[in-house]
Amino acid sequence: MLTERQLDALTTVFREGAQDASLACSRWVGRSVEIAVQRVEQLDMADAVAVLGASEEPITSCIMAIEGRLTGGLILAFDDASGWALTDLLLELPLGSCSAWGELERSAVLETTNIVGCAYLNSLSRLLQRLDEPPELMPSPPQFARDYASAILQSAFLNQVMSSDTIFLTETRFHLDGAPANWNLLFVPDAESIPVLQRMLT
Amino acid sequence: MTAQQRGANVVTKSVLETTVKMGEIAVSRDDGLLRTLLGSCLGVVLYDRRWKVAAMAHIVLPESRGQKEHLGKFADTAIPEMIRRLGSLLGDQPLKLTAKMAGGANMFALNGAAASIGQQNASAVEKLLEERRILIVGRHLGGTQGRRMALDVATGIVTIDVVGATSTEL
Amino acid sequence: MAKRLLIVDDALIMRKRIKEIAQQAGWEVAGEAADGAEALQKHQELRPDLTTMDIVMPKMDGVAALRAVREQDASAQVVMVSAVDQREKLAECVRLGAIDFIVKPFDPANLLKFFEKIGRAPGAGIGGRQA
Repeated sequence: MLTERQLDALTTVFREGAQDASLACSRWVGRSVEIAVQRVEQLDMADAVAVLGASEEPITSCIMAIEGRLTGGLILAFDDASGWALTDLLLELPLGSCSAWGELERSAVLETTNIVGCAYLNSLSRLLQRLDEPPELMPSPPQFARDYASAILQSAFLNQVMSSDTIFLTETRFHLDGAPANWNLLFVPDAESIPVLQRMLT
Repeated sequence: MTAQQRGANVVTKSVLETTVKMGEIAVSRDDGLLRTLLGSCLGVVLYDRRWKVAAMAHIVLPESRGQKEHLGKFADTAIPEMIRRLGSLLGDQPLKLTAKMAGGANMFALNGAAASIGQQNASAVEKLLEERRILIVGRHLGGTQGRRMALDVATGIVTIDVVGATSTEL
Repeated sequence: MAKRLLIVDDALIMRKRIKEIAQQAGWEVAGEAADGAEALQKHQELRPDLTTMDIVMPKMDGVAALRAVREQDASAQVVMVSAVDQREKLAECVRLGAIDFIVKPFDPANLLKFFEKIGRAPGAGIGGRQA
């Protein structure tokens, strides 16, 4: 369990990653993408699965596993409207053009996850380097899942849940100017990585 | 039926619907819905048709290893606790229960220990029910997708929804 | 005669983008691959003048593919195009013989300049390869 002070300190640690991720996303999309929310949370597992919304409607998500000094999962989640708006922008189509998840649309959100996720990891890697820790953090190829939000999160939390009833995660919500695009980037470290994060604070 | 009578750890949406969250157990009688959302977790329903009493658990892991809190989280503590709560709902009337199970998916084709948790949960529950001679009359397990599970307490029918597929009834 | 390019990336949208920019610079896109294993096979088949190589891909990642392609063909010209921007990974790619490393998201104008520059390099192909 992390203390309030540690949670606050970790929010600062992850801020750089969140900023780098929004910058990378802005460059990729060709429009200003801003951080609406950036925080670090420790929630009871029953509440943690509601972090992407308590609705029973499916959401779209792309998930990457992380290997290296820190392990865990990175999830970029969004509703259909936000996902298709992103795809419209990336394909230089008028907003409202994409309305299904074909190969091209999926590749657009998957590549966005790759770019945004790597920017986040690149930042964490530089931090590890400054702390004389092995810096390499490599993601797996992202996977696409359109499913109930809490079902997706149950799987993302499985590692932590095996040793705890509370879930630690970082959350960054992005907003894209002029488009219905609200995306949520979650970093869910494995249980073994939480002490590593704590050591980063000392 | 008050929230108290339905048991602790219950979030009641309305008088008739109860959502069972991760690691929780809820009991109900006569009518209404017990519902939950499942990924790798296992949803178990125990139902007595004569008395129309039901318990639903959202099980996360197969073994508690002695942990005494969050009884619904582990198969080996959830099943006895469900039976205990159903028993106290009915006073001393004997229970005649059947079971239905759903969930246990392996989402994102995970590797390592996490990959088989869904299957381990299902096996653990099957064994525990068999030991108590509770017949499993419906299953909707495995795969790589999440499930929405809802029990109609008046009829004992369990409806399973999977994204992109039509509803199934157990 | 146009120089020939092999584009390796698991994302269709990225292959499309790189293709458009390369064609704008006068390159012919000889082929595409979506993972490292396919990259190795296509490289052997197509003998391109240049390969763009993503890193994070299924089946075989781009660093392993870079190593395998260079082992198979010591004159193979590969430029890494990846969102992974970590010093040790870049150094490893350079050691394995990548000619450059372009970080995603790249500026399309910069990638265009890159293709134009390599396209102008002397020889029927880089490393004396016949087109």
